[in-house]
Amino acid sequence: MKYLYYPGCSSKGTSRAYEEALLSVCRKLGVELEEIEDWNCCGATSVVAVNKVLAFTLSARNLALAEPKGKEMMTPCPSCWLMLTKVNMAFHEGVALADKVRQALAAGGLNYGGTVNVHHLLDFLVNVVGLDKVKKAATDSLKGHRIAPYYGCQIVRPYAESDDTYNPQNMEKLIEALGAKVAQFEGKTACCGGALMATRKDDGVEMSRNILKSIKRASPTIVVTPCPLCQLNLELAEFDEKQPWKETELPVLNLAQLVGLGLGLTPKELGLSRSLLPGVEKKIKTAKKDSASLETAQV
Amino acid sequence: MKNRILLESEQHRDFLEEIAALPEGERVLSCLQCGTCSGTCPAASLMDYAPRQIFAMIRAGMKKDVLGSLTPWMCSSCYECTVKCPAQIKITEIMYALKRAAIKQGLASPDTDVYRFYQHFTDIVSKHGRMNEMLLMMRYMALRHPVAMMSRVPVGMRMMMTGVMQVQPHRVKNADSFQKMVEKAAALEAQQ
Repeated sequence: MKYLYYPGCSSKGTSRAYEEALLSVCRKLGVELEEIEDWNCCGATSVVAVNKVLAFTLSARNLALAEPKGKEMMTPCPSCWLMLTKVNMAFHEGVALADKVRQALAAGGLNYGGTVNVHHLLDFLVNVVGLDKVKKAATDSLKGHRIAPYYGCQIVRPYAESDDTYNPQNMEKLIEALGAKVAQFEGKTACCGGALMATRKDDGVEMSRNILKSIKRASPTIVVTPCPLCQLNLELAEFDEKQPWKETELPVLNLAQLVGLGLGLTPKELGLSRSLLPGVEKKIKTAKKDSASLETAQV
Repeated sequence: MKNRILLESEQHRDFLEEIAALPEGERVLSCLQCGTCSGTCPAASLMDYAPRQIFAMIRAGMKKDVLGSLTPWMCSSCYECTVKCPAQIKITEIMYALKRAAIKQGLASPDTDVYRFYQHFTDIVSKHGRMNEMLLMMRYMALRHPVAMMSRVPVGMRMMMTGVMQVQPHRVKNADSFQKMVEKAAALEAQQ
Protein backbone atom coordinates (compact mmCIF):
# COMPACT_ATOMS: atom_id res chain seq x y z
CA MET A 1 0.00 0.00 0.00
CA LYS A 2 1.15 3.47 -0.86
CA TYR A 3 0.90 6.22 1.78
CA LEU A 4 0.56 9.93 1.07
CA TYR A 5 3.38 12.02 2.42
CA TYR A 6 3.11 15.65 3.58
CA PRO A 7 6.64 16.89 4.44
CA GLY A 8 5.87 20.38 5.82
CA CYS A 9 8.10 23.40 5.19
CA SER A 10 10.79 22.66 7.77
CA SER A 11 11.52 19.34 6.00
CA LYS A 12 12.85 21.34 3.06
CA GLY A 13 14.80 23.78 5.27
CA THR A 14 16.19 23.66 8.78
CA SER A 15 14.90 20.13 9.31
CA ARG A 16 16.14 18.70 6.02
CA ALA A 17 17.81 15.85 7.89
CA TYR A 18 14.40 14.76 9.26
CA GLU A 19 13.16 14.17 5.72
CA GLU A 20 16.38 12.47 4.60
CA ALA A 21 16.20 10.11 7.57
CA LEU A 22 12.47 9.51 7.16
CA LEU A 23 12.83 8.54 3.50
CA SER A 24 15.75 6.22 4.34
CA VAL A 25 13.77 4.56 7.14
CA CYS A 26 10.70 4.04 4.94
CA ARG A 27 12.88 2.58 2.16
CA LYS A 28 14.44 0.18 4.66
CA LEU A 29 11.04 -0.86 6.05
CA GLY A 30 9.57 -1.27 2.57
CA VAL A 31 7.00 1.49 3.11
CA GLU A 32 6.01 3.22 -0.10
CA LEU A 33 5.37 6.96 0.09
CA GLU A 34 3.98 9.46 -2.39
CA GLU A 35 4.66 13.15 -1.74
CA ILE A 36 1.60 15.34 -2.28
CA GLU A 37 2.18 17.36 -5.42
CA ASP A 38 2.38 21.14 -5.06
CA TRP A 39 1.66 21.09 -1.32
CA ASN A 40 1.84 24.34 0.66
CA CYS A 41 2.52 25.48 4.24
CA CYS A 42 0.01 24.23 6.85
CA GLY A 43 -0.08 27.69 8.46
CA ALA A 44 1.36 26.30 11.72
CA THR A 45 0.75 28.42 14.83
CA SER A 46 1.37 31.67 12.95
CA VAL A 47 -1.22 32.19 10.18
CA VAL A 48 -4.04 31.41 12.61
CA ALA A 49 -2.84 34.37 14.71
CA VAL A 50 -3.56 36.67 11.77
CA ASN A 51 -6.26 35.06 9.62
CA LYS A 52 -8.15 31.97 10.78
CA VAL A 53 -10.00 31.28 7.53
CA LEU A 54 -6.71 31.42 5.62
CA ALA A 55 -4.96 29.14 8.12
CA PHE A 56 -7.63 26.46 7.73
CA THR A 57 -7.80 26.97 3.96
CA LEU A 58 -4.04 26.44 3.61
CA SER A 59 -4.21 23.11 5.43
CA ALA A 60 -7.44 22.12 3.66
CA ARG A 61 -5.75 22.72 0.27
CA ASN A 62 -3.17 20.06 1.13
CA LEU A 63 -5.92 17.61 2.07
CA ALA A 64 -7.87 18.49 -1.09
CA LEU A 65 -4.78 17.81 -3.24
CA ALA A 66 -4.24 14.51 -1.42
CA GLU A 67 -7.80 13.22 -1.50
CA PRO A 68 -7.91 11.93 -5.12
CA LYS A 69 -4.63 10.03 -4.49
CA GLY A 70 -5.54 8.07 -1.37
CA LYS A 71 -6.93 8.00 2.17
CA GLU A 72 -3.93 7.62 4.46
CA MET A 73 -1.50 10.49 4.95
CA MET A 74 1.64 10.78 7.07
CA THR A 75 3.56 13.87 8.18
CA PRO A 76 6.68 14.11 10.37
CA CYS A 77 5.72 17.48 11.94
CA PRO A 78 3.40 17.62 14.98
CA SER A 79 2.38 21.18 14.16
CA CYS A 80 1.38 20.20 10.59
CA TRP A 81 -0.38 17.13 11.98
CA LEU A 82 -2.37 19.28 14.40
CA MET A 83 -3.45 21.80 11.74
CA LEU A 84 -4.47 19.06 9.29
CA THR A 85 -6.34 17.28 12.11
CA LYS A 86 -8.15 20.50 13.06
CA VAL A 87 -9.34 20.90 9.46
CA ASN A 88 -10.64 17.32 9.46
CA MET A 89 -12.48 17.94 12.74
CA ALA A 90 -14.03 21.17 11.42
CA PHE A 91 -15.21 19.34 8.27
CA HIS A 92 -16.57 16.35 10.22
CA GLU A 93 -18.39 18.56 12.73
CA GLY A 94 -19.71 20.78 9.93
CA VAL A 95 -19.00 24.05 11.74
CA ALA A 96 -19.49 27.45 10.05
CA LEU A 97 -15.75 27.75 9.52
CA ALA A 98 -15.74 24.61 7.34
CA ASP A 99 -18.25 26.24 5.04
CA LYS A 100 -16.02 29.30 4.63
CA VAL A 101 -13.01 27.10 3.95
CA ARG A 102 -15.04 25.23 1.33
CA GLN A 103 -15.85 28.55 -0.37
CA ALA A 104 -12.18 29.61 -0.36
CA LEU A 105 -11.10 26.23 -1.80
CA ALA A 106 -13.79 26.50 -4.48
CA ALA A 107 -12.43 29.91 -5.50
CA GLY A 108 -9.26 28.06 -6.48
CA GLY A 109 -11.14 25.19 -8.12
CA LEU A 110 -10.61 22.66 -5.32
CA ASN A 111 -12.89 20.66 -3.07
CA TYR A 112 -12.26 18.57 0.05
CA GLY A 113 -14.65 15.81 1.10
CA GLY A 114 -13.10 15.18 4.52
CA THR A 115 -11.91 11.62 3.85
CA VAL A 116 -8.13 11.79 4.33
CA ASN A 117 -6.76 10.23 7.56
CA VAL A 118 -3.72 12.06 8.87
CA HIS A 119 -1.06 10.26 10.91
CA HIS A 120 1.95 11.67 12.60
CA LEU A 121 5.16 9.70 11.87
CA LEU A 122 5.21 8.35 15.46
CA ASP A 123 1.66 7.01 15.28
CA PHE A 124 2.44 5.80 11.73
CA LEU A 125 5.46 3.76 12.84
CA VAL A 126 3.79 2.33 15.96
CA ASN A 127 0.27 1.67 14.68
CA VAL A 128 0.33 1.58 10.87
CA VAL A 129 3.73 0.06 10.05
CA GLY A 130 3.67 -1.76 13.39
CA LEU A 131 6.18 -2.36 16.16
CA ASP A 132 6.69 -5.99 15.07
CA LYS A 133 7.98 -4.90 11.70
CA VAL A 134 10.32 -2.35 13.30
CA LYS A 135 11.54 -4.97 15.79
CA LYS A 136 12.26 -7.50 13.04
CA ALA A 137 14.24 -4.97 11.01
CA ALA A 138 16.23 -3.68 14.02
CA THR A 139 19.96 -4.36 14.35
CA ASP A 140 21.86 -4.21 17.64
CA SER A 141 23.34 -0.80 16.85
CA LEU A 142 21.40 1.01 19.60
CA LYS A 143 22.16 -1.64 22.21
CA GLY A 144 23.68 -0.05 25.32
CA HIS A 145 22.19 3.36 24.57
CA ARG A 146 19.94 5.22 26.98
CA ILE A 147 17.43 7.29 25.03
CA ALA A 148 15.44 10.22 26.47
CA PRO A 149 12.05 10.56 24.74
CA TYR A 150 11.08 14.23 24.48
CA TYR A 151 7.58 14.57 23.01
CA GLY A 152 6.99 18.32 23.12
CA CYS A 153 3.48 19.77 22.96
CA GLN A 154 1.38 19.43 19.91
CA ILE A 155 1.74 15.68 19.36
CA VAL A 156 -0.12 15.10 22.65
CA ARG A 157 -2.06 18.35 23.14
CA PRO A 158 -4.86 19.16 22.74
CA TYR A 159 -5.59 15.92 20.85
CA ALA A 160 -3.54 12.88 21.79
CA GLU A 161 -5.32 10.68 19.27
CA SER A 162 -2.97 7.72 19.43
CA ASP A 163 -1.40 8.13 22.86
CA ASP A 164 -1.89 9.41 26.41
CA THR A 165 -1.94 13.21 26.90
CA TYR A 166 -0.11 13.20 30.23
CA ASN A 167 2.10 10.15 29.96
CA PRO A 168 2.57 9.18 26.31
CA GLN A 169 4.27 5.83 25.64
CA ASN A 170 4.66 5.46 21.88
CA MET A 171 8.29 6.58 21.80
CA GLU A 172 9.13 4.34 24.76
CA LYS A 173 7.66 1.40 22.85
CA LEU A 174 9.73 2.26 19.77
CA ILE A 175 12.94 2.72 21.77
CA GLU A 176 12.46 -0.71 23.32
CA ALA A 177 11.59 -2.29 19.96
CA LEU A 178 14.91 -0.93 18.69
CA GLY A 179 16.77 -2.68 21.53
CA ALA A 180 17.73 0.45 23.51
CA LYS A 181 16.84 1.58 27.02
CA VAL A 182 14.55 4.45 27.96
CA ALA A 183 15.96 7.30 30.08
CA GLN A 184 12.91 8.75 31.85
CA PHE A 185 12.98 12.40 32.84
CA GLU A 186 10.55 14.98 34.14
CA GLY A 187 8.84 17.16 31.56
CA LYS A 188 8.75 14.97 28.48
CA THR A 189 5.70 16.86 27.24
CA ALA A 190 6.87 20.34 28.36
CA CYS A 191 7.04 23.17 25.86
CA CYS A 192 10.36 24.09 24.19
CA GLY A 193 9.10 27.63 23.66
CA GLY A 194 8.12 27.18 20.02
CA ALA A 195 8.24 30.42 18.06
CA LEU A 196 9.53 32.33 21.12
CA MET A 197 13.01 31.23 19.99
CA ALA A 198 12.46 33.49 16.97
CA THR A 199 10.51 36.34 18.57
CA ARG A 200 12.10 36.47 22.04
CA LYS A 201 15.40 34.64 21.75
CA ASP A 202 16.58 34.87 25.37
CA ASP A 203 13.24 33.60 26.71
CA GLY A 204 13.12 30.84 24.11
CA VAL A 205 16.66 29.75 24.94
CA GLU A 206 15.80 29.64 28.64
CA MET A 207 12.74 27.45 28.10
CA SER A 208 14.67 24.99 25.94
CA ARG A 209 17.66 25.03 28.28
CA ASN A 210 15.41 24.10 31.22
CA ILE A 211 14.23 21.06 29.29
CA LEU A 212 17.82 20.09 28.45
CA LYS A 213 18.74 20.38 32.13
CA SER A 214 15.93 18.05 33.15
CA ILE A 215 16.91 15.60 30.41
CA LYS A 216 20.58 15.63 31.46
CA ARG A 217 19.65 14.61 35.00
CA ALA A 218 18.57 11.25 33.54
CA SER A 219 22.02 10.91 31.92
CA PRO A 220 20.89 9.68 28.52
CA THR A 221 23.25 9.10 25.58
CA ILE A 222 20.77 10.46 23.02
CA VAL A 223 17.66 12.67 23.11
CA VAL A 224 14.92 11.92 20.59
CA THR A 225 11.99 14.13 19.61
CA PRO A 226 9.23 13.69 17.03
CA CYS A 227 9.10 17.47 16.40
CA PRO A 228 11.42 19.34 14.01
CA LEU A 229 11.02 22.60 15.96
CA CYS A 230 11.75 20.94 19.31
CA GLN A 231 14.91 19.43 17.80
CA LEU A 232 16.03 22.80 16.45
CA ASN A 233 15.21 24.67 19.65
CA LEU A 234 17.07 22.22 21.91
CA GLU A 235 20.03 22.42 19.54
CA LEU A 236 19.85 26.22 19.48
CA ALA A 237 19.85 26.31 23.28
CA GLU A 238 23.01 24.20 23.32
CA PHE A 239 24.56 26.20 20.47
CA ASP A 240 23.86 29.44 22.32
CA GLU A 241 25.94 28.19 25.23
CA LYS A 242 28.75 26.72 23.21
CA GLN A 243 29.25 28.74 20.08
CA PRO A 244 31.28 28.93 18.05
CA TRP A 245 31.53 25.41 16.74
CA LYS A 246 32.14 23.43 19.86
CA GLU A 247 31.11 19.81 19.60
CA THR A 248 27.82 18.61 21.03
CA GLU A 249 27.60 17.23 24.54
CA LEU A 250 24.29 15.46 24.06
CA PRO A 251 23.06 14.58 20.55
CA VAL A 252 19.45 15.63 19.90
CA LEU A 253 17.98 13.49 17.13
CA ASN A 254 14.63 13.54 15.42
CA LEU A 255 12.48 10.43 15.50
CA ALA A 256 13.45 9.23 12.00
CA GLN A 257 17.17 9.59 12.73
CA LEU A 258 16.87 7.49 15.88
CA VAL A 259 14.82 4.77 14.18
CA GLY A 260 17.29 4.81 11.29
CA LEU A 261 20.21 4.27 13.68
CA GLY A 262 18.35 1.36 15.22
CA LEU A 263 17.81 -0.14 11.78
CA GLY A 264 21.55 0.08 11.09
CA LEU A 265 21.39 2.88 8.51
CA THR A 266 24.49 4.98 7.89
CA PRO A 267 25.00 8.49 9.34
CA LYS A 268 24.94 9.82 5.78
CA GLU A 269 21.54 8.24 5.08
CA LEU A 270 20.26 9.91 8.26
CA GLY A 271 21.73 13.35 7.64
CA LEU A 272 23.58 13.32 10.99
CA SER A 273 26.16 15.81 9.69
CA ARG A 274 23.39 18.39 9.26
CA SER A 275 22.96 18.74 13.04
CA LEU A 276 23.45 22.27 14.31
CA LEU A 277 26.32 21.24 16.57
CA PRO A 278 29.13 19.19 15.07
CA GLY A 279 30.31 15.86 16.44
CA VAL A 280 26.95 14.07 16.72
CA GLU A 281 28.17 10.89 15.03
CA LYS A 282 31.33 10.69 17.13
CA LYS A 283 29.43 11.39 20.35
CA ILE A 284 26.92 8.63 19.65
CA LYS A 285 29.75 6.12 19.17
CA THR A 286 31.69 7.09 22.31
CA ALA A 287 28.60 7.57 24.49
CA LYS A 288 27.54 4.02 23.74
CA LYS A 289 30.91 2.71 24.84
CA ASP A 290 30.81 4.78 28.05
CA SER A 291 27.27 3.70 28.81
CA ALA A 292 28.13 0.03 28.20
CA SER A 293 31.18 0.14 30.48
CA LEU A 294 29.11 1.95 33.11
CA GLU A 295 26.58 -0.85 33.06
CA THR A 296 29.25 -3.54 33.36
CA ALA A 297 30.73 -1.65 36.30
CA GLN A 298 27.31 -1.51 37.99
CA VAL A 299 26.88 -5.26 37.61
CA MET B 1 -4.43 47.59 34.88
CA LYS B 2 -1.27 48.66 36.71
CA ASN B 3 -3.06 50.30 39.68
CA ARG B 4 -5.04 52.73 37.65
CA ILE B 5 -8.67 53.71 37.97
CA LEU B 6 -10.82 52.30 35.22
CA LEU B 7 -13.37 54.95 34.32
CA GLU B 8 -16.79 54.00 33.05
CA SER B 9 -16.03 55.63 29.71
CA GLU B 10 -13.08 53.26 29.25
CA GLN B 11 -15.04 50.12 29.94
CA HIS B 12 -16.32 47.98 27.11
CA ARG B 13 -19.19 46.21 28.80
CA ASP B 14 -19.92 44.12 25.71
CA PHE B 15 -16.36 42.74 25.45
CA LEU B 16 -17.21 39.57 27.37
CA GLU B 17 -20.20 38.95 25.10
CA GLU B 18 -18.00 39.66 22.08
CA ILE B 19 -15.55 36.94 23.13
CA ALA B 20 -18.32 34.55 24.24
CA ALA B 21 -19.96 34.88 20.81
CA LEU B 22 -16.86 33.55 19.03
CA PRO B 23 -16.85 29.85 18.10
CA GLU B 24 -13.85 29.32 20.41
CA GLY B 25 -15.39 31.41 23.20
CA GLU B 26 -18.42 29.22 23.85
CA ARG B 27 -17.38 28.32 27.40
CA VAL B 28 -15.69 31.54 28.48
CA LEU B 29 -18.63 32.47 30.73
CA SER B 30 -17.94 29.43 32.90
CA CYS B 31 -14.43 30.57 33.90
CA LEU B 32 -13.99 29.84 37.62
CA GLN B 33 -10.97 32.10 38.09
CA CYS B 34 -9.20 29.07 39.57
CA GLY B 35 -5.83 29.96 38.05
CA THR B 36 -5.02 26.51 36.67
CA CYS B 37 -4.17 28.18 33.35
CA SER B 38 -1.67 30.58 34.92
CA GLY B 39 -0.21 27.79 37.02
CA THR B 40 0.42 25.49 34.08
CA CYS B 41 1.47 28.12 31.52
CA PRO B 42 5.21 27.78 30.79
CA ALA B 43 5.31 31.33 29.45
CA ALA B 44 3.34 33.03 32.27
CA SER B 45 6.46 34.74 33.61
CA LEU B 46 6.94 36.46 30.23
CA MET B 47 3.41 37.88 30.19
CA ASP B 48 2.26 41.21 31.60
CA TYR B 49 -0.99 39.54 32.71
CA ALA B 50 -1.08 35.79 33.31
CA PRO B 51 -3.97 33.96 31.58
CA ARG B 52 -6.28 33.98 34.63
CA GLN B 53 -5.93 37.75 34.87
CA ILE B 54 -6.73 38.09 31.16
CA PHE B 55 -10.04 36.28 31.73
CA ALA B 56 -10.85 38.53 34.70
CA MET B 57 -10.05 41.56 32.55
CA ILE B 58 -12.25 40.31 29.71
CA ARG B 59 -15.07 40.08 32.24
CA ALA B 60 -14.36 43.60 33.49
CA GLY B 61 -14.64 44.94 29.94
CA MET B 62 -11.01 46.03 29.78
CA LYS B 63 -10.80 45.61 26.05
CA LYS B 64 -7.89 47.91 25.31
CA ASP B 65 -5.76 46.48 28.11
CA VAL B 66 -6.46 42.92 27.00
CA LEU B 67 -5.88 43.45 23.29
CA GLY B 68 -2.89 45.68 23.97
CA SER B 69 -1.23 43.21 26.32
CA LEU B 70 1.82 41.12 25.66
CA THR B 71 0.07 37.99 26.91
CA PRO B 72 -1.35 36.50 23.68
CA TRP B 73 1.97 37.09 21.89
CA MET B 74 3.91 35.19 24.54
CA CYS B 75 1.57 32.18 24.24
CA SER B 76 3.57 29.44 22.54
CA SER B 77 0.49 27.33 21.66
CA CYS B 78 1.52 24.43 23.90
CA TYR B 79 -2.12 23.77 24.95
CA GLU B 80 -1.17 22.95 28.59
CA CYS B 81 -3.95 25.27 29.83
CA THR B 82 -6.47 23.92 27.32
CA VAL B 83 -6.16 20.30 28.43
CA LYS B 84 -6.15 21.22 32.13
CA CYS B 85 -8.88 23.89 32.33
CA PRO B 86 -11.62 22.46 34.61
CA ALA B 87 -14.20 24.63 32.81
CA GLN B 88 -13.01 23.23 29.44
CA ILE B 89 -12.38 26.66 28.00
CA LYS B 90 -10.38 26.52 24.78
CA ILE B 91 -7.81 28.94 26.14
CA THR B 92 -5.19 28.55 23.43
CA GLU B 93 -7.83 29.17 20.75
CA ILE B 94 -8.99 32.27 22.64
CA MET B 95 -5.38 33.50 22.71
CA TYR B 96 -5.35 33.13 18.91
CA ALA B 97 -8.64 35.05 18.72
CA LEU B 98 -7.15 37.84 20.89
CA LYS B 99 -4.12 38.01 18.59
CA ARG B 100 -6.34 38.35 15.53
CA ALA B 101 -8.56 40.97 17.20
CA ALA B 102 -5.52 42.96 18.36
CA ILE B 103 -4.12 43.10 14.82
CA LYS B 104 -7.47 43.78 13.15
CA GLN B 105 -8.37 46.58 15.55
CA GLY B 106 -4.89 48.08 15.54
CA LEU B 107 -4.52 47.58 19.30
CA ALA B 108 -1.53 45.18 19.33
CA SER B 109 0.88 46.17 22.07
CA PRO B 110 3.33 48.88 21.06
CA ASP B 111 5.73 47.51 23.70
CA THR B 112 6.29 44.50 21.54
CA ASP B 113 6.42 44.05 17.84
CA VAL B 114 6.15 40.29 18.11
CA TYR B 115 2.89 40.50 16.18
CA ARG B 116 4.95 41.57 13.15
CA PHE B 117 6.56 38.13 13.12
CA TYR B 118 3.14 36.55 12.62
CA GLN B 119 2.22 39.06 9.93
CA HIS B 120 5.44 38.45 8.00
CA PHE B 121 4.92 34.69 8.32
CA THR B 122 1.42 35.04 6.87
CA ASP B 123 2.59 37.36 4.07
CA ILE B 124 5.39 35.00 3.01
CA VAL B 125 3.11 31.95 2.95
CA SER B 126 0.38 33.91 1.13
CA LYS B 127 2.84 34.92 -1.55
CA HIS B 128 5.10 31.90 -1.93
CA GLY B 129 2.93 29.04 -0.68
CA ARG B 130 5.63 27.74 1.67
CA MET B 131 7.65 29.18 4.52
CA ASN B 132 11.18 30.37 3.96
CA GLU B 133 12.86 30.55 7.35
CA MET B 134 15.69 32.85 6.29
CA LEU B 135 13.37 35.32 4.59
CA LEU B 136 11.13 35.39 7.69
CA MET B 137 13.99 36.12 10.07
CA MET B 138 15.43 38.78 7.74
CA ARG B 139 12.10 40.57 7.42
CA TYR B 140 11.33 40.38 11.11
CA MET B 141 14.76 41.44 12.31
CA ALA B 142 16.72 43.40 9.70
CA LEU B 143 15.26 46.88 10.25
CA ARG B 144 13.86 46.70 13.77
CA HIS B 145 16.27 44.36 15.54
CA PRO B 146 19.66 44.72 13.83
CA VAL B 147 21.66 43.96 16.98
CA ALA B 148 19.68 40.80 17.73
CA MET B 149 20.14 39.79 14.11
CA MET B 150 23.91 40.12 14.40
CA SER B 151 23.82 37.74 17.37
CA ARG B 152 22.33 35.11 15.08
CA VAL B 153 25.03 35.31 12.44
CA PRO B 154 26.97 32.29 13.81
CA VAL B 155 23.83 30.13 13.71
CA GLY B 156 23.11 31.30 10.17
CA MET B 157 26.65 30.52 9.10
CA ARG B 158 26.52 27.06 10.62
CA MET B 159 23.19 26.43 8.87
CA MET B 160 24.74 27.49 5.57
CA MET B 161 27.57 25.01 6.17
CA THR B 162 25.26 22.11 6.92
CA GLY B 163 23.10 22.92 3.91
CA VAL B 164 19.83 23.43 5.75
CA MET B 165 19.36 27.09 4.84
CA GLN B 166 16.96 27.57 1.96
CA VAL B 167 17.98 30.66 0.05
CA GLN B 168 15.52 30.65 -2.83
CA PRO B 169 11.86 31.08 -1.79
CA HIS B 170 9.49 28.37 -3.01
CA ARG B 171 7.03 29.00 -5.80
CA VAL B 172 3.67 27.27 -5.67
CA LYS B 173 3.05 25.63 -9.07
CA ASN B 174 -0.60 26.43 -9.46
CA ALA B 175 -0.09 30.06 -8.45
CA ASP B 176 -3.25 31.46 -10.02
CA SER B 177 -5.58 29.05 -8.19
CA PHE B 178 -3.58 29.48 -4.96
CA GLN B 179 -3.86 33.30 -5.06
CA LYS B 180 -7.61 33.14 -5.65
CA MET B 181 -7.93 30.97 -2.53
CA VAL B 182 -5.83 33.37 -0.46
CA GLU B 183 -7.91 36.35 -1.62
CA LYS B 184 -11.21 34.60 -0.93
CA ALA B 185 -10.01 33.53 2.52
CA ALA B 186 -8.99 37.12 3.31
CA ALA B 187 -12.39 38.41 2.22
CA LEU B 188 -14.23 35.83 4.33
CA GLU B 189 -12.01 36.55 7.36
CA ALA B 190 -12.77 40.28 7.07
CA GLN B 191 -16.52 39.54 7.32
CA GLN B 192 -16.09 37.92 10.73
